[in-house]
Amino acid sequence: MAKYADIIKIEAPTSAIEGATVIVDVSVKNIASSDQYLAVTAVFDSTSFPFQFDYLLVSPGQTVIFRGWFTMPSKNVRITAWSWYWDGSDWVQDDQITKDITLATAVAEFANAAITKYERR
Amino acid sequence: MNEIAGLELGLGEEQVMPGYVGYGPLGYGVYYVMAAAPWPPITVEPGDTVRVYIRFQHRGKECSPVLYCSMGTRVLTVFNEDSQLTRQKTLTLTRKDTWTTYSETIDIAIPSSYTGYGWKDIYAKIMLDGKNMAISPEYDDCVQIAKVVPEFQLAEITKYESM
Repeated sequence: MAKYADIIKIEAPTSAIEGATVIVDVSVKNIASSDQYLAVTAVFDSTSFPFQFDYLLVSPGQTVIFRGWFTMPSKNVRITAWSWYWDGSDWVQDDQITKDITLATAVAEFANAAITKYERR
Repeated sequence: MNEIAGLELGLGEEQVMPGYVGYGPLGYGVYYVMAAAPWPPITVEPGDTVRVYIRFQHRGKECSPVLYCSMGTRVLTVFNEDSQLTRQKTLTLTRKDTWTTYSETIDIAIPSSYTGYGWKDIYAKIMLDGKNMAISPEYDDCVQIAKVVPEFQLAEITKYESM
């Protein structure tokens, strides 16, 4: 149970092909009665990946989305994300969430074949 | 957000030739819509080459598909490809994470000894591992292969004289 930085949800694809950019959106709600500095960190397996914002000042009851991204490796991965709040002197780990992403096999797709012109040579 | 990052999978079914199923005098059947080509038909002769311009889209894994183009004649539901007027070539495509449009050409050389004169229909397709991946609309009567015959006219005596 989170004290201040409640992770509402994590959004990420359920599968991705190797080399694809995987975008991870972590929604965090300030459940405190006062403004809080909130942050999110995350790893896929044990590799950390960056987020768009290091931290945000969040009003009471407000939910913010921290967006992170990484390049899909050639294996299934588990994302683990943590929320943090600032207690005035240190960052305190608060909530946690996980999500699994499976490695998808890349396929080739084709569409809209058309003859656009023909001529005598 | 895409279900699969990097690919928007959605085309699960093989594309089919234009047509519909309906009820006619002889019962249910598949009726093929013969599209009129949006360009004027051309007339060629044995020994000529027809250059066909083909466009298609690809995304996903790198691959080496076969671009296939055939002239022939459609009889009801069957497109009779003329093997002498069918050509293919293998392409090399790199991986694309978004739909990418390609334009290619195929030259169909009409053998000098060709005798199957008349109007020809034409279509093209993309094949991968022997499977049809995308098929173009089929154009009806767009190329006429004409027989070259000697013609004479205006025969007349232009002069006569004592030798």
